Amino acid sequence: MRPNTLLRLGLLALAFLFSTLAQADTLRLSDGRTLEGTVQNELDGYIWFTHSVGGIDQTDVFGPNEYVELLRDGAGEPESGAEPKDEARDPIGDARPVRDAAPARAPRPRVGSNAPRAAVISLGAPDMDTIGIYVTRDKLESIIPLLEEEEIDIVVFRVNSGGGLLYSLGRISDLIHTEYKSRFRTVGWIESAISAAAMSVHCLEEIYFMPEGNYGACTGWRGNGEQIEGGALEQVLYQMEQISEKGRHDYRVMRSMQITEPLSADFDPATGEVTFRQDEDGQVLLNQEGDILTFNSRTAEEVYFSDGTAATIDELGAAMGLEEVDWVGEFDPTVPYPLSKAEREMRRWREVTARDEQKLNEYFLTFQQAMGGIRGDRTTAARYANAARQALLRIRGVVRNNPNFALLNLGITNPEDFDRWYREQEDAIREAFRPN
Amino acid sequence: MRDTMRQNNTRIPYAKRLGGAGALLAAVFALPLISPTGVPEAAAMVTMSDDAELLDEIVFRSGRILRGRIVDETNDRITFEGELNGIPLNTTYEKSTIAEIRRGVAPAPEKAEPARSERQHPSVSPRSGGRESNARDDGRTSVYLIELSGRFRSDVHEAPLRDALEDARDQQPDYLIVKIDTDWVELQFDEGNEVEIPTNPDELFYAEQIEPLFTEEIRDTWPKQPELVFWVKNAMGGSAFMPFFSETMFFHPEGRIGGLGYVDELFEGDEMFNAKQISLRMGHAQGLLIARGYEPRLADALMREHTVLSYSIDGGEPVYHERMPESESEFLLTDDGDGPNEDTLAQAVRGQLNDTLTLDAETARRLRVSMGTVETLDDLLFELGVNRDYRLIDGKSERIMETWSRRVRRTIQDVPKMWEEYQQIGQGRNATPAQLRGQRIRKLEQIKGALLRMQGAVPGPAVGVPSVAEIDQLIAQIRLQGLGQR
Repeated sequence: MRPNTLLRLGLLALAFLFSTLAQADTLRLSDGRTLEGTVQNELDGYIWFTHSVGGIDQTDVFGPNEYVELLRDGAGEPESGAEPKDEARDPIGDARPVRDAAPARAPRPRVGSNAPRAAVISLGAPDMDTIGIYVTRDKLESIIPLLEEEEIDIVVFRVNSGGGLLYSLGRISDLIHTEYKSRFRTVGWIESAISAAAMSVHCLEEIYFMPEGNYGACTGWRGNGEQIEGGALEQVLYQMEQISEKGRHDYRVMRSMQITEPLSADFDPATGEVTFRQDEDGQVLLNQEGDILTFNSRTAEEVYFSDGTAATIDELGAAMGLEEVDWVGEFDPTVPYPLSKAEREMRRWREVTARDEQKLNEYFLTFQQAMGGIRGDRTTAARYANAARQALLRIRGVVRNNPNFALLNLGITNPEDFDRWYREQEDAIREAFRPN
Repeated sequence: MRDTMRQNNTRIPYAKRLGGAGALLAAVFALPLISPTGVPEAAAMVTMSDDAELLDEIVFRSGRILRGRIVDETNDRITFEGELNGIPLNTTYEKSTIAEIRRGVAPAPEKAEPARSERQHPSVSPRSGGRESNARDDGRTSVYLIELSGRFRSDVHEAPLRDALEDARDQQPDYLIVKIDTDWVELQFDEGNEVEIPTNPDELFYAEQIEPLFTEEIRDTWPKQPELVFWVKNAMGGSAFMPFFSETMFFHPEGRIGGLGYVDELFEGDEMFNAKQISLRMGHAQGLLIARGYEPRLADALMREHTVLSYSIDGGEPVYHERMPESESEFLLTDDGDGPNEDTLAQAVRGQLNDTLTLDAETARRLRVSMGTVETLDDLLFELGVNRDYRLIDGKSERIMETWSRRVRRTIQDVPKMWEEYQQIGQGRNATPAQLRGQRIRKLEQIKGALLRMQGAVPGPAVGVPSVAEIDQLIAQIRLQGLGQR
């Protein structure tokens, strides 16, 4: 168990007292707590465990070192995770490791190696990195079937993004927490996660850095360097407290990435546990007052925010404790990891999005000018009407590929509203073309 | 620096005054109004006349070392005499800036001490390594040299670098040497006698963009892994990050790394917005240094004005202190730049700025950033332990880089002319509207093609023409106008 996990789980422990979930399995954690709930999935010693927190069901992932034993509903024998810290634990040592236990879901039939199958999914790329444009909830959701088709067990999000839309981060974070973490062992591999990029993946419990990795600088701002303040700021701070809890990160870490509050850390000399404090007086100063925190790979690992530093997928597999892993996908000499179907689709979509982003202004401008032409000389109105329709079709194509372009250009957040807008523009073309 | 400079009008960081595309344009065209009289620290080696056998040596708190003769001394000052790059020098220094005075020391050897003392010097070291045909497997150590000069981001650009590295990959050298000697606008004074300290910390992001060419791509796609060595002469601005792409770095005696300072002054937004922008840049910069095992606090010293960093040497290894020196065995890298510590105009013109760090050869060597100081390629290879009969591969890199630079210059000249021609279409000529539209579209396509061929090395706005996306919009508008013609 990582030393700071106890702290991360503190709030959960308190809420557990009020749990109303109908219990089935019992998970005894290394920190001494006992959770009642249901095992949702298991992989390589990791357990996806749904339990109730304050009356609300929540699924958390526990690594092999984070639990002592699992008692299944109706089973008399406990199953062990890590070596016990508690001497009262089964003294005979006959508990089976959980990784050998029957998983909650039927295992997918597989030919060949039983090594877990892993896929790297890139979140952002150079010049194509804006959260909300090049990393969207819709796209991440759409590739889940491709991951399942290739029987992926482990999803590695390689993050390389300088940030993006505040609007999108909650949607992406929710998707990762509810849909990815419940299906896959989901980890972050940080090349650069700045601002909304860090906030979007902050719900991940398991985060690794590349040596050059950076993570933080999450201050929200509007154009002209205007920082968000007041109620809007409080909302985002609260949102990130909730996301921090999902990722089992101390909320103070993200807070110092959002606002200019200091952050330091103390280490328990006996256990090595880290306690973060919102001042400069801890043993390790991470952020001084007036600055905004950005972790590098060293500082992140020093305070156990990062689970390790890895430059390559081989190093990453080792850092993740995988004795054997099947990195799924086709080899491409220009990419430092195999390209799974899902990753290939992500890359194809980003290229299309980049092209669309460059052309969209042109389409809108053409549409507007063509509309003006329709209202002019009647002898040429038909040509302009045709040009307006073509531009409108192109706009629709762009939005179909990436619905967030409708948000950015039209303030439209759902497909139904865009379809309505589209029909209105078609009507406007017809209306303009109609003889007086 | 700021307050002191204000007496001669305020120093405004170069990047701040010439931000974004304008900065690139200025960087390409700008000529200093006055030649630098500031002496790079690495070049500040005072030599004695021939008849002197023993020298005096002054070790400054900054780590800089001067050798020459002490001609006068008071309780608080020392007057030093010698030659500086062949120019007679007689300068008085405050003793408060000096960490140690060594009297009557032997003249320094012409060549720096080997970085790795266990290596033995060959008994005879004739000049060697002339460019040869590229026969492989002749048993000799093969060396591929890429020399980078001109402007970072325009001359030193991803496109020619990729081509040069592909050529190097095909030659499968044992050593890949990258010599950095890029152009840098030195101190400038404008009409109001304001001094501008050139700095461009945001070139960091372009350095990050080209970094994988030297790291991931060599690691993942080269059939034979060479030892990558950076040899630093002038690595200022964005090129300052390039030597940190490898764990092996050497300096030329005049070598320097810097020109990244004053990141704190780049932004004029709200307090937290500014703090965010600074923080993310430092995260990126520290990461670049960490990736190859360099001390990340050096990034702060290079980029942030208020970083206080000094060092001492313990067992040959540098020990960093985030404070001012507290003893004679500690040396200042950068002070906080506040009040009396603010750099002065006098320091600026003497190349002795320490509000932000400029690494010279001696300091880099002491900090173990540089593995040694070498003046020639032969010296470098000797330090690397390469036998003198090495084979210098006759590669295409020189031609590739030169050809690219010529294309950059030509594009910078030609594109504004094309734009002028575009604007003059239709003036004083009889042509139909359709013909005029055709001419305009063709000219715009010509400009667009010229810009696209340079792959961002010459952005349109930097030479006074629209961007490629804007040109596309212009073309679309012209085509749309055609619909209105009967």
